[in-house]
Amino acid sequence: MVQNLEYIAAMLLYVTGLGIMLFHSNLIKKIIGMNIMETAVFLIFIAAGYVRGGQPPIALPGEPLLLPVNPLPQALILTGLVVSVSITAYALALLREIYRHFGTLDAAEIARRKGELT
Amino acid sequence: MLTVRSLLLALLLLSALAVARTRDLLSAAVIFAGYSLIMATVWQQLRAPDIALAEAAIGAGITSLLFIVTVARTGRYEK
Amino acid sequence: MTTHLVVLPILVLLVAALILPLVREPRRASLIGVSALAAAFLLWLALAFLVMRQGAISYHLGGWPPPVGIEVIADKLAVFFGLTVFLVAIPTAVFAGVDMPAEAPEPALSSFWTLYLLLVLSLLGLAQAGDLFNMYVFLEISSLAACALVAVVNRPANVEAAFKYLLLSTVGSGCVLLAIALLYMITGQLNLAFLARELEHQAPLYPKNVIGAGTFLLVGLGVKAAIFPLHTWLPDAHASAPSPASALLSGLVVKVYVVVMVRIVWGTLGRAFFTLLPFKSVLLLLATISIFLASILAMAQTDLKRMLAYSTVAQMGYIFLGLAAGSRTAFAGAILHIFNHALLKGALFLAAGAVIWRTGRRRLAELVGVGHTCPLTLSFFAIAALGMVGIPGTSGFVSKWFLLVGMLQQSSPLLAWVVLISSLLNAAYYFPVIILGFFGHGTDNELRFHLDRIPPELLLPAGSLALVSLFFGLWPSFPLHLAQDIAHDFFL
Repeated sequence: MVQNLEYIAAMLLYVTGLGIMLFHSNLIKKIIGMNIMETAVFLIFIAAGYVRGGQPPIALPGEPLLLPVNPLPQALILTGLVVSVSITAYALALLREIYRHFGTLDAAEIARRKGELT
Repeated sequence: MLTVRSLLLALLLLSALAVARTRDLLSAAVIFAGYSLIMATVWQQLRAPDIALAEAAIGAGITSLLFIVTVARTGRYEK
Repeated sequence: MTTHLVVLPILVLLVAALILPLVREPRRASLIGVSALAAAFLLWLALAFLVMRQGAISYHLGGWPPPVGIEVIADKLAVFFGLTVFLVAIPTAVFAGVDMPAEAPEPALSSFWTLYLLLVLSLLGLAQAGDLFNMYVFLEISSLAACALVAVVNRPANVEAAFKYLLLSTVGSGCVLLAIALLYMITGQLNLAFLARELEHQAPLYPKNVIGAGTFLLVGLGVKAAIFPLHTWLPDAHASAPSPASALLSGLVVKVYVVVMVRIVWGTLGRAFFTLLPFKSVLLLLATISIFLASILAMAQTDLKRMLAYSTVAQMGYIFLGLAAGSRTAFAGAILHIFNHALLKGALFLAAGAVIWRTGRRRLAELVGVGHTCPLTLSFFAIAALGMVGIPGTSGFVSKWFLLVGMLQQSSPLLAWVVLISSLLNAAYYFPVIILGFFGHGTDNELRFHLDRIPPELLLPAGSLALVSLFFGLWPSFPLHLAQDIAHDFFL
């Protein structure tokens, strides 16, 4: 049950993030939704490696690690975190160019103006 | 212990919903920074201190800064 | 030394990709790019030779054995896809050396070459990845590099298409990561071989995790491989990208996700998974819709590159159809179609790029009579287009023949009809371009017939791809045997 709590929260966050991506036409909102969705996936991964009453997987000299939580998901999610930041940064850079070209960040408006261009 | 975690998760959900609700993009960016900070605390509760540090620096710091700069250069309100 | 050969091609490309941002001069940058690709190709050929002689090689990064360490594998599937990658990427790179300065401003050029090499190395990495997380990292590299290649040219359509592509492919990566999490949860393994072994015991105990993982994998890889309801980003991105980038994206990038899917779903999840989820039936349905919808939409296009992009969606449908048809012959046909379609679509996009370079026109109506001014280029286009339709003697015929035979062996004539009727649809949009190009009279073009005034750096890559694919249509034994071996290893 204790672990299920994280899974349920992560699933709800995933749906919220996906909803923001799908139902908001503002592109900045879409990127925020994407970030929420990704953190939800990270939460599932980390919760999978959690051990009830466990210690952080950091060994200090002289102190044995009695019950460490699984360190592997943490190492992986650290990579995922960095990837998600770089994607966000690149997406925001693209957004600035979109704003320069179209003068708006509204997806419906952009589609309309693109139709006018061609 | 359990209550702290459920409280944090509830806050996380609430801030995600608040991001979805607000029409002001600047406050959406700021709420997202708060979301990342709560997330960092959740990582700490799940005994993942290195991710907590990274989330606080990258998620709440750099990402929010990028969002705020972008909002400042484009438009503040969602149509 | 011999085992280090497994990762050397990727390392060569990585080093070159990191040096290239320092190179300011565009000609030198393209020279470095092409020579790095050539060097990696030679190393890959040596690796392919080793694998063909000794069988699959497993390389442990840093000397750590799996399941702790990262495993890189060179088996027949990896070697096959890697050869496809180099056969398309090297001519395209030669083409880009002349074409890109005309399409992009000078500061964008050095980043173009970095992204190009990063994309190629991520394709090789995906084909060779032996564990799931390594796969995820290369997946992200490939989608970021591919999006950035679309946006190298800063035009409104490009930036918008790149953003859409980025958003959707990030959702796809998220789905794949979720699938990885679900599998890790029940097995505690990321290495594919160990995961497969563990899953035999765990799958019956936790069917929900396996079903969830399969669904998210289908969605995640489906977005990236542009299968029917998830294909909407592809025409925008592939049509607006600069021509060499289009050739790479359409020819190779969408297909690497099929290779990944074969490795994970067929190679790892295995039989237990297919009994839990009607994966193949869903794939068959989506593939059939993909083929027909994309073929019909391709007919409606007025832009040459957009038409080619829709044709890619349809051809990806054939590959999925063959994989899911449930016959080993059709599976081999699908794997062979990865190779054939890569060469053909590369040739088509490069020929289209050369025509656009020469005339500046890309609308189909303006390309009437273009055969008078670019006869050789249009001939290469025609050869590749015939291959797409599947005229006997071309390479497209061979793979479609195997798809057909497989479906008839499986006694599913309905699927055979899908392949046959859609071939007619292919002809319906490719032939008008060729016929009107050679025999139509354009409104304002010079009626006098003369040879293409196109530099050989543009003409030769398109021509070599078309002729190589023609060669493998007439003598298909090498790729065919490789595809049959892969089908033998992976088919379930």
